[in-house]
Amino acid sequence: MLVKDVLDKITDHNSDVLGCIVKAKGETFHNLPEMYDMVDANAVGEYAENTFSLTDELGTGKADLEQLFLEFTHHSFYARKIEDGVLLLLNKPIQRRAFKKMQVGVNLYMKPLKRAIDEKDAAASAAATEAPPQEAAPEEAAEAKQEPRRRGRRFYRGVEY
Amino acid sequence: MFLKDSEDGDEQLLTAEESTELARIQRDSQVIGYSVMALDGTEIESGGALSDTIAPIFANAFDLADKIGAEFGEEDTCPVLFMESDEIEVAGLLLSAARAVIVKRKHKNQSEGLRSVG
Repeated sequence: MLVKDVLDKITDHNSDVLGCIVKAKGETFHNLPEMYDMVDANAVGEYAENTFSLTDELGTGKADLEQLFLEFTHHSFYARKIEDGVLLLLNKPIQRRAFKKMQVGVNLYMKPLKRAIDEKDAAASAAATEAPPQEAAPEEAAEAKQEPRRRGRRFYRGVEY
Repeated sequence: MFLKDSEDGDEQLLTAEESTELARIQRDSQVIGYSVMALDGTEIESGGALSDTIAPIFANAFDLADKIGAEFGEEDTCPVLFMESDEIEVAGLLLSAARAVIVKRKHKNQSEGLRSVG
């Protein structure tokens, strides 16, 4: 399953969710509705990640804060830490009580999301290793042709020639 | 208490009702830290085990929350911020002229309930 498919499932599962952003392993994916096409999803993911990084310094030991809920006038946001990143849900302006129900719904998709991110990462690594070596630029190729061919040092009866 | 120096003299940051509620929170045995800060992030008063870290961290966290909201067209500052882990929860609230952040240990049965679905 693709990362975006998992995000679509999270959105379909809960009528309060308008769209999702996931930032993991340096990549950002989202399924935000068209009306939010001016939103910088990468920046939003980074803000959420930075919030979690900040609160890691709170001094609560192992009990790191891993879920965040923000209420605004027209929207609410739910973010949670995932491996190497963050998942953020853009919601209707719900209150915290409704968000508790949403937490449970999102839990169902955490494993499929992790799997989809890992698969995407593995596919990207495989593509990088299988890619044919890039041809040298024309100028470099011309220079290479002009250079004398060097096939290593040559010896005849122990004497280099 | 809960006054901020300003050019016009001391400025009252909390209403009587907010002060009463804060006094109640201070007595709550589950509260492990709290901070009251001005809207510009200046720390006014903090208490509890995490008192050194709450105000600077959450002043920045509120800025980041506002940036998230602004990306989606929210014009007002973030009124409510909640964070939680299995063991603790944090509530950051916009009051009439200040912000309050309260860090609380969860009820045991509540955290166990979360674990069961996690």
